[in-house]
Amino acid sequence: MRFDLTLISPNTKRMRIFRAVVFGLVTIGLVWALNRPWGPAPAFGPLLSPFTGFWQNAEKAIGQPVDTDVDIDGTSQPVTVRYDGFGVPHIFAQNEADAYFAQGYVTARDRLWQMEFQTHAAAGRLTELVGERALETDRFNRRMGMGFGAERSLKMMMEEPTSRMVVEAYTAGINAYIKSLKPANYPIEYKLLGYAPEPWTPIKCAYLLKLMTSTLAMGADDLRMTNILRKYGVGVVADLFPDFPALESPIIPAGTKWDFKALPVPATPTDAAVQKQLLAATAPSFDAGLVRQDPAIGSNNWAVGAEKSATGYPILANDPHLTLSLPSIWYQIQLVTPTMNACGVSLPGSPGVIIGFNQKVAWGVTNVGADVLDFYAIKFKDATQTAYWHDNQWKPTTARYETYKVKGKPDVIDTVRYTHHGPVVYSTGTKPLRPNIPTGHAARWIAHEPANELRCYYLLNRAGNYTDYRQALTHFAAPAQNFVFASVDKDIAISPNGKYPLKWKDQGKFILDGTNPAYDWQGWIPSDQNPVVKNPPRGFVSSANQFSTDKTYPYYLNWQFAPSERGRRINERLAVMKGATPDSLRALQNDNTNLRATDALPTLLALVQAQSLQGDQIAALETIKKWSHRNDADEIAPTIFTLWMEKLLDGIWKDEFDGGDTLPMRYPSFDRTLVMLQHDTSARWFDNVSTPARESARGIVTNSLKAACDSLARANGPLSPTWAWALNKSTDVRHLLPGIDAFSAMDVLNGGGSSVVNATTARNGPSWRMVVALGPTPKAYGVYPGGQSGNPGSPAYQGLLEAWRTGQLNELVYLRSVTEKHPKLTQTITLK
Amino acid sequence: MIPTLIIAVLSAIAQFFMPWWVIAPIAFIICFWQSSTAGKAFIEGTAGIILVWAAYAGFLNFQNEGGLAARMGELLFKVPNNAGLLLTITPLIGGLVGGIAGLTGFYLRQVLAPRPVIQQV
Repeated sequence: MRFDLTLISPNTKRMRIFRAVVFGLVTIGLVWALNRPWGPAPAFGPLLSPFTGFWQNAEKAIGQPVDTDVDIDGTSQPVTVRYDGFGVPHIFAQNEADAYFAQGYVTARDRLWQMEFQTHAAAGRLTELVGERALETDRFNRRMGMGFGAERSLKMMMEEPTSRMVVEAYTAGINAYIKSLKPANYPIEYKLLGYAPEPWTPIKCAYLLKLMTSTLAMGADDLRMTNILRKYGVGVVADLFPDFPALESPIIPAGTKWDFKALPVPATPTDAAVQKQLLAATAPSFDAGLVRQDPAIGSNNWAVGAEKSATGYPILANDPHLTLSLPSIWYQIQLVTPTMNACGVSLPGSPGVIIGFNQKVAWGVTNVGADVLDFYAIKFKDATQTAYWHDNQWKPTTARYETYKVKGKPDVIDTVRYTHHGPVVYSTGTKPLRPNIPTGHAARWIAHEPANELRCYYLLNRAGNYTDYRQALTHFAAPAQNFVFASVDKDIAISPNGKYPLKWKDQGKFILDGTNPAYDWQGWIPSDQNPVVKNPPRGFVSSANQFSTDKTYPYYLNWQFAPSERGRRINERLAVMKGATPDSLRALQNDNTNLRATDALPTLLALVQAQSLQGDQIAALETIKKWSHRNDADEIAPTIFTLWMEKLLDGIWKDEFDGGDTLPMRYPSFDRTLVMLQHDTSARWFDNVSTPARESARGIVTNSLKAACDSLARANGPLSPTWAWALNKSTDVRHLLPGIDAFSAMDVLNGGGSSVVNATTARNGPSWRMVVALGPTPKAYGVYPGGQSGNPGSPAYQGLLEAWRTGQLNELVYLRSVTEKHPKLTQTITLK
Repeated sequence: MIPTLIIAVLSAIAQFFMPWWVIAPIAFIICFWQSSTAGKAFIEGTAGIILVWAAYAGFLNFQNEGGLAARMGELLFKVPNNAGLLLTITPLIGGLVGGIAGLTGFYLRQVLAPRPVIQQV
């Protein structure tokens, strides 16, 4: 045996070089392929690497967290953050700025991706993350003037020294956290989408508040109502779309006196010639991107007075209903400084406590459905849209250029024309008024107004009594909220509060004439004349998005509000409640009574032609008849009833009021439909105009029941427990990125419904439930469907979901001092 | 055995500071230097990286009680409730990169400074 180095022939050598080159290329190719995304699929190399990838987001689920010191620039004194077992931070700071710095820091620690993603969405910047498919969504948000409004609000926030301090400290805290991150520590969504967090800026706080306005105050039926007016005329509109429902229990109890001298209301314009001309030219599909407000997005809140409570002090409850999502909408927090000790929930991206309590007071919010978005038909001088006709003269538009950075594509630039009303949201594809003179529609929207809602929350967090509450509310513009209030002084109050335009009656029910100043918004309702009631004789206050007041309030807010069932049910329960405890209010939050069924079934059951039913239809009718009218999880009747009502409304109205995309219209309300079924079964609307036969109310009621049963049988088989409400409602709490079921809670089994106090539907529901018992030591309870951590790899991602699903509340940890001992505390972090 | 351990130790340290793909040059260099045959180079490169990726992923997964790996398995491969899937795929992907890079290292060595060929005479 010997070593021989001389036997390599030139051919072998060439072969070896070739082999080394090929394998070199294979190696490089493999690394390259694993290091880049393929379409929607993420780059697998960095994602799978245990050192940088998703494994790094797999948080410890076992063992005790240890106390740590975080060395960080930005605080002037050390800040102590004590975490409880739910992952809630309790921040103890020695001055205000440090507290908001710490709030920014800990919120980013748990929710960085969510806060950035939501503000990107509000700013119309999703194309930067997901490419061209987000362009229409982004374009819509920008054309609606989200950026315009956020910039104006930012200016106002920064001009006021306190809110400037709050926003800047909060921003610095978020950025201190971002700066401490290595790519391996980025939240998992950054790794999946392949991008990095950018520095936070104060305008993102403004965007977040505008996002709430767009979620809660973007409802607009103007175009649909205008189309109905054009097709059916004034009489039908007045009959089918009245300005007050038959059944209602307004937020300010009927008969409450108004203790102010009202401003004169602008006159209703009578010369509607131009208006009619413009109406005739209304492009039927201009609002293709504008979704109708989901009626299930609403909320409940109430407070019972001391005389109704077992504790001798008021008790307050609130559950805001939103589209349920993960990471959770709310973030629990306690903020303690020498001037405040506020506790409750915050919105990631906005400093302060939004819904909560302190040692003296508690507050909560539900949405006010005031009409604060109107559309004006604009007459342009020419196709350049640089001038428009208003007040008998041509006025110049201003141009705002919107640049969309599209991932993987060149930038897109869009010009939006602004009139004094607001931005021309849609102008393409509209029918011209005269050849070469296009029409457009400008949006006048409350979100365009400069506002400083942070100031309101800053003051509420420190409020000590009713006067402080009233003072805080004057700073709140939008989205208008029913602010419920209770104090240790035994005051309770509620106020549908916000910045309301001073309107003539029904102004904005239809599209408005943008050429005539009489149609403009002409000032505001003075904030001290917003509806309010303090310590009413009935001993409680409440709201559930229904009408703010009865018809005696001197100002016009809207012609429609959320259906009255939730509000009426709450008021009916609270009226008879004595010796209320936090648990009685918790039970009411979870009340599944379906008042719509109680209202409608006597009428409907009398109309059903039972003899024509067969098989499961007969059993279904029996199930409905025996039903307790509760939408409990395992009940079958709510499944049948809900689909029956859907088919019934379609049966009555679809032929006349569904114009599809070419002529968008809407149905009359359920309230109005029920009145017609009760008192006017010969109404022309029962006839289906697309058939030669003459349909009757009885026939429609019966056929819609049959259709509902048949469609349930097709989906679930014969009538059996597979028809259970929870299974058919199928509530999902979905991740903010569409289609990521793996990070979502799918098919959460619980009861509820859209006209039910427990307003849980397929996608919407109570996003936070809170009950606060005031007293020398406030005791508070709360839960939300998710968890404090926004990380799907954390055990705290949806740790609260099960308690929420079963209607339980957790007692909230409320600390009085930084050294207080509490069995639920787990970890202390010190920022220094 | 020795090259496998060197690759494992070096890549474990390097990956705390450098991008994931540092595993490729490390396997490449070590196999260039140490491996005696092509087969061994591939196995040493693969095993060195599998060792590190499997151990670290396994440790993180244990602490996490498998929660995130199960969600990711559903997200990436539509296989729900199976943390083992990504626990298996992860080291295999890393190992494949290490193995191919190691093999390349050995092949380059064969061009520049060939290993003595053991021959029966």
